[in-house]
Amino acid sequence: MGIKRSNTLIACMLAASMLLAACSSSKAGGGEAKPESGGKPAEPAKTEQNGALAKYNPPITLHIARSSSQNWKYPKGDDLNNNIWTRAYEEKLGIKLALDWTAEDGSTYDQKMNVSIASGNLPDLFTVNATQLKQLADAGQLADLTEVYNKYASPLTKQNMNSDGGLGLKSATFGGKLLAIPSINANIYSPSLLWIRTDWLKKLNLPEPKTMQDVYAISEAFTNKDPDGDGKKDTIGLGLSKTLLNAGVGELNGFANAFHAYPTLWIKGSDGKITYGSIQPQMKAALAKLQDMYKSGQIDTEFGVKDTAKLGEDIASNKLGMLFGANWLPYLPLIDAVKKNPGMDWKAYAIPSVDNEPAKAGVAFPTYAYVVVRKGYEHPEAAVSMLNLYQDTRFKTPVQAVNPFETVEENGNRIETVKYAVVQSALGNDVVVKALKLLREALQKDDKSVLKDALKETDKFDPVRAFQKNGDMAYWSQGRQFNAYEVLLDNYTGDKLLTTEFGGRTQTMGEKWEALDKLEKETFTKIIMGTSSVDEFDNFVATWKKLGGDTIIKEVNDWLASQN
Amino acid sequence: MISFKWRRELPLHAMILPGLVLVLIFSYMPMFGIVIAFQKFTPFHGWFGSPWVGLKYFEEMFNRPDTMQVVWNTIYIATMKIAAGFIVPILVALLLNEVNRAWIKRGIQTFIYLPHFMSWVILGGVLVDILSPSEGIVNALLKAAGLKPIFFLGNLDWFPRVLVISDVWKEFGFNTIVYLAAIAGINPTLYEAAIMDGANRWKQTLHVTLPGMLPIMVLMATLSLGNVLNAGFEQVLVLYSPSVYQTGDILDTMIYRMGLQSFQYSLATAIGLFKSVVSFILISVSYWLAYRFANYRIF
Repeated sequence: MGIKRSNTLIACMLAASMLLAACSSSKAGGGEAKPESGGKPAEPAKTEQNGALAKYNPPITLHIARSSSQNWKYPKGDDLNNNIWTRAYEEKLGIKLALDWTAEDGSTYDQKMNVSIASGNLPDLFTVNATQLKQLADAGQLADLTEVYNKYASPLTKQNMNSDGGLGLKSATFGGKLLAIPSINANIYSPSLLWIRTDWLKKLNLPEPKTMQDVYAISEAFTNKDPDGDGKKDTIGLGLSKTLLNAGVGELNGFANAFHAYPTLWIKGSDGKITYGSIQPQMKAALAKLQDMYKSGQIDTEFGVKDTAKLGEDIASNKLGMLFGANWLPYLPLIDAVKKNPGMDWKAYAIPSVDNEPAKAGVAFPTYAYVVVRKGYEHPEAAVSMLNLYQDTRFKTPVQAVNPFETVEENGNRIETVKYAVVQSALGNDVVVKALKLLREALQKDDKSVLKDALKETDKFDPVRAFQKNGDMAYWSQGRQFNAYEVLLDNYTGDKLLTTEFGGRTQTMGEKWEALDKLEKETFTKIIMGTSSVDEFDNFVATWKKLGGDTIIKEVNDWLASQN
Repeated sequence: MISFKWRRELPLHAMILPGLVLVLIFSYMPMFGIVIAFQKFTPFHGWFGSPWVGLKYFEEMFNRPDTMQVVWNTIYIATMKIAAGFIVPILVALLLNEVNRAWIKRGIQTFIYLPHFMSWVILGGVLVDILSPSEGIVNALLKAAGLKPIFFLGNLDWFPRVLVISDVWKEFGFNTIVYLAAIAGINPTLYEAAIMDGANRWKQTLHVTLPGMLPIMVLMATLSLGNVLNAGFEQVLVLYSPSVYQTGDILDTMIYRMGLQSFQYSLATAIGLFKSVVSFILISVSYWLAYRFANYRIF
């Protein structure tokens, strides 16, 4: 009869986690004691001559929890529990995987992991986010990996794990102990670039954007000068999605960067202290300009309810010609629009600046996933062993152009197999920038052999070449992404790439962040839509600070000070 | 004699056991979890290891600038839903009752009942499309009528109304069937007598049908009052956005963001407990009113 549906739902979820917590807290206590009281220390793993771990004999069984997706495809006969990676773990390392549970990648997995953490029912090895890592570390639930990492990580592994300048490993270290294997990424890929529909630019005789004034002019022209030529005023200047920040498609970040504002990032203030990017006066200026653009019809009145998929539909139906987004925009959503509309073309541009000082790109923390081992598990070194295998398979030079551990071709379909790996860590900026430079050099010289030292992006050479030489539209995405890579290389290396100073989560953040985040999103959306005046920003800053922001800023500074 | 009766009825009494056990396990045992509202709860330390903090989280709840706004939104949206969800099915049931052809009646009945089976996740996507100011069919009609298009899901005033209207649209079919059943149960001799007294259809409806439905109406109303702080979690979650937080954020979505997205178990539980206590008071009052004015008792 519909009585108390949602109420019950929440009550049940909380109740379930409470019950589990109650049932298993005793179990966890008992389990912890076992390996120690057994008197037998964990069997020391044998090492091979190169220092790497030998195969476990007899094989060990490792209980894991991992994310996966309904959309993943597998080669015939394979599945999540039996694929090229699981077989390699078993055959090469002597590690048998037992999947305790899996959940859809993203928030579903995070929530299920939260329940698992709350219940204390942890697998041997699993992936967590920064918040969960901090929670587990504070509770002392994680195995110390310092020793096994130093001892067993291969030289290649160590090189790549440090290729982000040590940021990732530092974020996984608590009180001098390495408690997780960070998943290293390169945030040179992260800047929000300015993507413009170049066929519209040509049609309206507009110059490529050098300054923000040019951007405003383009936005104005795209809105009012009927770039799609259907005689109707049905186009918008600048695309925004409802997520606003860090959406990848139609995000505010790049626009704010042009104003030297760095929303959602922890940045160094003029006094040398770390402060929060979203509350700086530069942000107010960016929002004020967006409000103007909204008022004059250059921003979709409905952006507040449009997700990135809807934005893609607008692009495909010729409504939108400019937005800020990541380097991978050609793959999603642009290629679909280009296929549907012959003649449509897009290019990435560096973020212009509102003044003489060039704009920097503000990027998030490169590491957001961590592999951890539960405390008390007998073979914490297995995690390092699996990491070595991953690094060896993917990043040994010369990198294999066709690597079954990355992609497999079956019946003309490309199946990505690298996703199945349980312990993953990619490459940091140092290695990636080098690879991108080699790719550019190879294309300029038209000589593939230049790529022999590149650890990444070698697979891009042939497609990009085909696009550049022959204009092969089948490789439009790769070709245009390469243009974006060039923009990244030319503009956002070194100190032009502003990485957030802090990627963890402090005590007060745990308690107050939800409220502060809500306040921020609500205020920004309302200012852009004009339902709040621009001066509301000052109230927002004051409220934000009062509601715990000040405490959090202090905690972040203390946290960073304690690391130096 | 008594023991014989007792023995004969024992199996019948035993049939209540499974239900009772389930209620105990799923409704009463979890109530012990309420203690975490008074603790600085961390899952690893559990109920016994987490330190007691008294009313800290209740204070925190009221220190949040948006709590009162969210409580008000919840009550406002839920009350509107209860009121509209009460009146609409009765009207529809009365009108359907006047339809003579059984197949039309049954057809309409099935048709309006259908949305009840659809998930809000799907209906949410549908609503975003049909309510869009630029392309949606609703605004196309408004424009054709010479009116200005309305941004239903982004407008602070309209958002709660959209919630109420769409919820009623989704759920009124079910209650309509309940009322139709009540109408079918009215003794036909009453109508015959009314006709003899010269009552037309309207008078019959007023003096026979409505009084005949009254017990069910009071029952449905009293039961629905239990929802006075349930403004519809799934529905709001799929439809709201930061631009309408001010009038659209409700207690359940706040608890969801807090408990399952930011791990603030204690604060989320405190708010949940607050919600339950307020609901309890409101239900008690409404039950008493129902007894007092409609002389109706459930228990």
